[in-house]
Amino acid sequence: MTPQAEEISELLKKCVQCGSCILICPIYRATKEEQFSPRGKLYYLKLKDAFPEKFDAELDKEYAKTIFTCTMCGRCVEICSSETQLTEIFKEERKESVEQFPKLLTIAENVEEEKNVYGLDNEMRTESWTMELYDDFPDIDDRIYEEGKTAETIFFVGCLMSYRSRHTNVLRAILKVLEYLGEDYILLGGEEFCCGHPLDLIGKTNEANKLREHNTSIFTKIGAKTIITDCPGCLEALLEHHHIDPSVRVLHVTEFFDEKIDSVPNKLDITLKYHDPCELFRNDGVTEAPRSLMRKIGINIVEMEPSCCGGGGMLRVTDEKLANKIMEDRIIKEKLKEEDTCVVTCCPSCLEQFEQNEITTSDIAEYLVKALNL
Amino acid sequence: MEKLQKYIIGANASIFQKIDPDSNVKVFVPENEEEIKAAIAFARENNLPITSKGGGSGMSGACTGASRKKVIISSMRMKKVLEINFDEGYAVVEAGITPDELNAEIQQRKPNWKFFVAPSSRDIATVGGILSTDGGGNDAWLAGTMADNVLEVELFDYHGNKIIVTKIDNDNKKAKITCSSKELQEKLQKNNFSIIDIAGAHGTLGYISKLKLLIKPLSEYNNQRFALAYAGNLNALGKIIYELIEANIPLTYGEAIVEAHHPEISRKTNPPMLILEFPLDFQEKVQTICKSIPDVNFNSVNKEEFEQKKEIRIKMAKRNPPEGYQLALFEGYGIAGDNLLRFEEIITKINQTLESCGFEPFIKFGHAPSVYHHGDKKVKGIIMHSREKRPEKLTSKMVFEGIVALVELCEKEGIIPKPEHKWPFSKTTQKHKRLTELTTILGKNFNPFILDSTLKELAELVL
Ligand SMILES: Cc1cc2nc3c(=O)[nH]c(=O)nc-3n(C[C@H](O)[C@H](O)[C@H](O)COP(=O)(O)OP(=O)(O)OC[C@H]3O[C@@H](n4cnc5c(N)ncnc54)[C@H](O)[C@@H]3O)c2cc1C
Ligand code: SF4
Ligand code: SF4
Repeated sequence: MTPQAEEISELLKKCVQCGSCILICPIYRATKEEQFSPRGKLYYLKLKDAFPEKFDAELDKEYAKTIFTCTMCGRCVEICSSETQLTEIFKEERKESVEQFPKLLTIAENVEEEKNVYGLDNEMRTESWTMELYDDFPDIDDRIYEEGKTAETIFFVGCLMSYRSRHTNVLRAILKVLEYLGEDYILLGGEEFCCGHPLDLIGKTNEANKLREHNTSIFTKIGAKTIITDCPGCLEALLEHHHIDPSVRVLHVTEFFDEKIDSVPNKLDITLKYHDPCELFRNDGVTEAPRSLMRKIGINIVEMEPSCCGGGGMLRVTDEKLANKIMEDRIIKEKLKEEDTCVVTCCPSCLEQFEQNEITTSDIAEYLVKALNL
Repeated sequence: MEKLQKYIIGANASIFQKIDPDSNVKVFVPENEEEIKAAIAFARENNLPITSKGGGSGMSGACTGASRKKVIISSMRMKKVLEINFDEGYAVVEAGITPDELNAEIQQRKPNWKFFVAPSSRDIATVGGILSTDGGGNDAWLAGTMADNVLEVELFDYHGNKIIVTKIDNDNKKAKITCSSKELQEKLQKNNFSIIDIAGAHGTLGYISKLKLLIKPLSEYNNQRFALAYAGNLNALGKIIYELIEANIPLTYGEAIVEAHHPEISRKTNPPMLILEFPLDFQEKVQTICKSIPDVNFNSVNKEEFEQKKEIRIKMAKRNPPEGYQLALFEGYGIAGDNLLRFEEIITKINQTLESCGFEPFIKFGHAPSVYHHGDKKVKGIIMHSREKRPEKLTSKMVFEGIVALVELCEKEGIIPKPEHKWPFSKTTQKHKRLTELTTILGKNFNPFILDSTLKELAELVL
């Protein structure tokens, strides 16, 4: 047995197969097939251990598909009283699957070659959105990193916000607030490489680490005291895997703004349904800051079931139809189309997932600028 | 995905996990009556037995059908609430719904109403599965077990006949039978087929598709008080349970933590102890009972502290030891009557038996006081669950010998089994005889292994 296989075998033993993780899993809810449930995915491994002769590559390939059919929302880990680290097991299994079936996913090539998930020229990273912001920020180019530049705060934008036009407005809002606060901040431009989170999710840890080494070297050169990001996936990767100097604080933008802003001149007094991004609250432990910030802005928060939007774990890449089915179920459960209340969140991926399913959704920062009259 | 589906359907919470995946010839997950009938027809045409599966949370492994060739019919897509009638106090539901799902629907309409069967596994156990194991929860003391909360059951036999069993005079043993085959209807009626037969039948009598369940307002149980009763020794714990039963206190929650060889659980709960909830009017009485027993420390607590202890208790069934892993070798020890007064001796003997078979005791806990059906009798006592530390080198021989030794001990000591866990396989029980009788009428096509397997066959399934 390899050390990894041994580790998995130990992690697996914790699972008592109670089934408590089944009905809360967004994938199970959407498919209603036990092989897609968290318990089912673990049972496969137990069974393979017991009857190795009955398992062949064809079956492993089917299993690989189920392993990638997961939003990595972590809800199964949260509910498990046996302390089974399911997402750790899934990450290892994803890694094994990609090794066994290299053609399973193409996204890895994009990131490895172009350093971003879209396979676009990485120099376009900031250009694609800064052009639209010149009116508001004529000196924005001065904020983009070049050798020798230093700053107190790094705003790590992330692939999704860099390349998808929907997020330009969120970026505008965040930058406006940073300017309002008088922050000495910097953007990495073409020197920002993908944080590696998508590669982790598809089992390519070594490749992810190469990107991170580059990012961390730039962080060191800039000498910033704080790194902020709006993307919970980037936040996780920065916190867990970039080996950043412990004296540097790594924060979600809502944590950063909540610390800096005590009150606003224009309390909004609106009611919104808050979607907790899974990665932000389960993996990064950020639950209070977005709520505190929203309360200060004057948002009356309607809480929803802490369930995934369907956009996590690369599911939109591996099975877009299923990702949308998860969202459709959520729309029905939360009466998102029946009730006249919009959704607010603070994750670019979740935001897109809601909007693509015709639910009016905004990032908290977009309300914050209004409340600050910016 | 069909092959993968057949392999994974064996997933279940019992120690019987090593189910030959190729023994699941075909899996059906029907959504309606037509699909149920088609699944049964497939089994019939291929001369295969049927195993029904709900949430797969049962501790006896009965939802696996063992490693024999069979067709599996899962109820996990049968989750509709067909009717809720608050005036008459019932809900008609499909068999695959869980108590949590049903209560969410009920409480969306009337927040103070509830379906009152709450096993700790209520987030996954289905009402069909709960009836098939006659499950109960911490409120069984007042609300009874599943058999007491089912008004009508619809099930299908191997020939696709629909059988409706309607409870009469609120008596679990009396029913009106309606069946699409008049001949079968007459036979079943003549043999007094009733809800109590289906309760704990472990899927041997047919595929349950629909149930009419009792629902009640919560307001009956207003103005509650909470307490923790710490016992200095196991006999004192047994005595509290005994006295609470004698005084017939309407406890809305009663759970015991008997022992916990786990530093964190032990530090937070200090077992042996009882977690109690009761109406304000009974506070004095509960307090007097506890204070009259030497070595008992009675503590009134606020709701928050009560909820914290409840949370620890509900998770206990799934906890692992700080080092190593848990195993549920044997479950559902029913300890009642005078046995409660020699609780220490009983627990010591159980532990000695476990140790002599190579198993290290880990935790014991249970619904107490509680009620369960044993044959024709309703028994009042504790239903104690047990988890052992999983031996590093677990063999099927150890499991086999362990279960046999425990069954013998229970028979000798008068520990009454709740027919839920490993007990369906005990051929000496009244339930076994009754099911054998009924399956001569209904056919031996649903989960036949329950009635004819040997423990040796089952022990081979342990993983
Ligand atoms: C953590 C944990 C805590 C538990 N706590 C409790 C507790 O507090 N009280 C308690 O009573 N039990 C408890 N249990 C045991 C278990 O949850 C019960 O036995 C439950 O009733 C099983 O329901 P299920 O839907 O999971 O059934 P399964 O395990 O799927 O099946 C159980 C039996 O029911 C039969 N069956 C299922 N559906 C049908 C159907 N539609 N038609 C015919 N037969 C059917 C199966 O063939 C099998 O024989 C616990 C289990 C776990 C893992
Ligand atoms: S992973 Fe945890 S919650 Fe899921 S079946 Fe295993 S023990 Fe239960
Ligand atoms: S991480 Fe989320 S989607 Fe994946 S198995 Fe767990 S609950 Fe399901």
